[in-house]
Amino acid sequence: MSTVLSPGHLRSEYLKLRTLRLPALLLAAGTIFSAAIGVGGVLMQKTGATVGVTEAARAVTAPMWFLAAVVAILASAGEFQHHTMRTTLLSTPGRTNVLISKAIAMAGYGAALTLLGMAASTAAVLVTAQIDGVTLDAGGAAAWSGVAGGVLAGALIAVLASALGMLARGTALALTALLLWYFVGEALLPVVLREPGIGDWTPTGVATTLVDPAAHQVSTILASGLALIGYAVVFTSAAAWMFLHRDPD
Amino acid sequence: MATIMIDRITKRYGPMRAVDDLSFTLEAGSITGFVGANGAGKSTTLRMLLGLTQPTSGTARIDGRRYAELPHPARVVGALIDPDVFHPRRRGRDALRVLAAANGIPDRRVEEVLELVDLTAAADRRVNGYSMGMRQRLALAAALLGDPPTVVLDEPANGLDPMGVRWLRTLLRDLADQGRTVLVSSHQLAELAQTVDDVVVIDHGRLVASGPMRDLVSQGAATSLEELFLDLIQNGHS
Repeated sequence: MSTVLSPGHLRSEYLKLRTLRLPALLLAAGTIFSAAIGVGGVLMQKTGATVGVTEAARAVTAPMWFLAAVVAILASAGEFQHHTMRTTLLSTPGRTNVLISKAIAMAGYGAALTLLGMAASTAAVLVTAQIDGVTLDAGGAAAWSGVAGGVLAGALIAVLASALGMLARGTALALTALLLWYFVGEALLPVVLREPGIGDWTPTGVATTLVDPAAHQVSTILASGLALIGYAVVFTSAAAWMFLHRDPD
Repeated sequence: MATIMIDRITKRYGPMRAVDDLSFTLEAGSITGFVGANGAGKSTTLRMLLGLTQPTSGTARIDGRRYAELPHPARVVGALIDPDVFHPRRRGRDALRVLAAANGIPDRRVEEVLELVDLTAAADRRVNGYSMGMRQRLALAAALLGDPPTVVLDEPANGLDPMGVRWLRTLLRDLADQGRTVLVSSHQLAELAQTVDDVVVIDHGRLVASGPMRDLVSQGAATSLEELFLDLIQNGHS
């Protein structure tokens, strides 16, 4: 039997992120990087071209997701690597509570990082376009729902990465798995399976669909959302099983 | 009511029994030394008591409950199992705030325990800049965060200088005098003999002897805890 999840557990996980430099540094770096992409996106336009405000926001989602995944892995696998999981379990012996509060904290971080990146890129586009005299297109409701989709995807990808870290129990192994999958696996999978469409259903593929709803049917968007939730649930369940059945070290 | 009760606990790793049908009970208001050679099963027993390792069979209870069932464990049991359980890049004060938050302990208590272990001046330094002794004191501060009635310490004197060892001895006596139950695992028998009231001796995961230290020493031919321990182990009492 484990005790009920309390706000204290969430506050503890939040403090774990807040009291280390890396999450804040990546948050700042991601914001600056996103602003730079926004500025670059406007400056590279030909004279008389129109820049979509939401396009600028959506353009930075993939790098923000990647940064969120890195932080989530370091936060979860790092607990095993630095043996802080021992003190975590001494203060929160209910392992399910540890897992849930960590997932919520990571989802919050992933969503915040993606949102901040999108906001920085959008702000940079607005300012640069004003200075450069570039015409802006505010975009329709579908385009703005893509922004919301991007934030949701950021949260879910962070949860997924956190689960990966809990499974690997080592930052080097988990980060290597992330890098291999992100830069090699996702590109290789459609080739190996001789199924070009499969790329749309990988974690990054479904997340990208969520960011660009105008280009897809509603059923595809819903299926993509469910698929991304499914990936997060499957990985978190596997991590939970391992966490509940294996001693921390 | 017994504070700590270990009841026929066994931990098997494959064919090896790290702890074998071990039982003992500790009463409140005493310091008990948990003694055994390297690999005797002391740390495994403490980890099972603290819910970090699942026993193969048997139960370990604190105030009648398994550790995992305690609503606010830090307020019931303070545990020091290893000084290297803090993120090296986190500041000492922040490491304690993280633990305090999980148990609803206010930040002012963090300052109190930092003061108690004499780490206030170093509280804003990152843990990777701490000496072994400082990390040990930080771990001790973490154990005392919830002002718990029961304290479980695994090798708490490791890394402490002679002044630190004396300070620890006084602290443990103060804790026991306040009516708390203190369980201390250690190899340093001469040091332990100056601190503890009772001893639990284990070998190869099995209970060899338990009871008031003075009684156990006087019953045998031994003149000290160290002699008693060596006599029990070498004469194959296990």
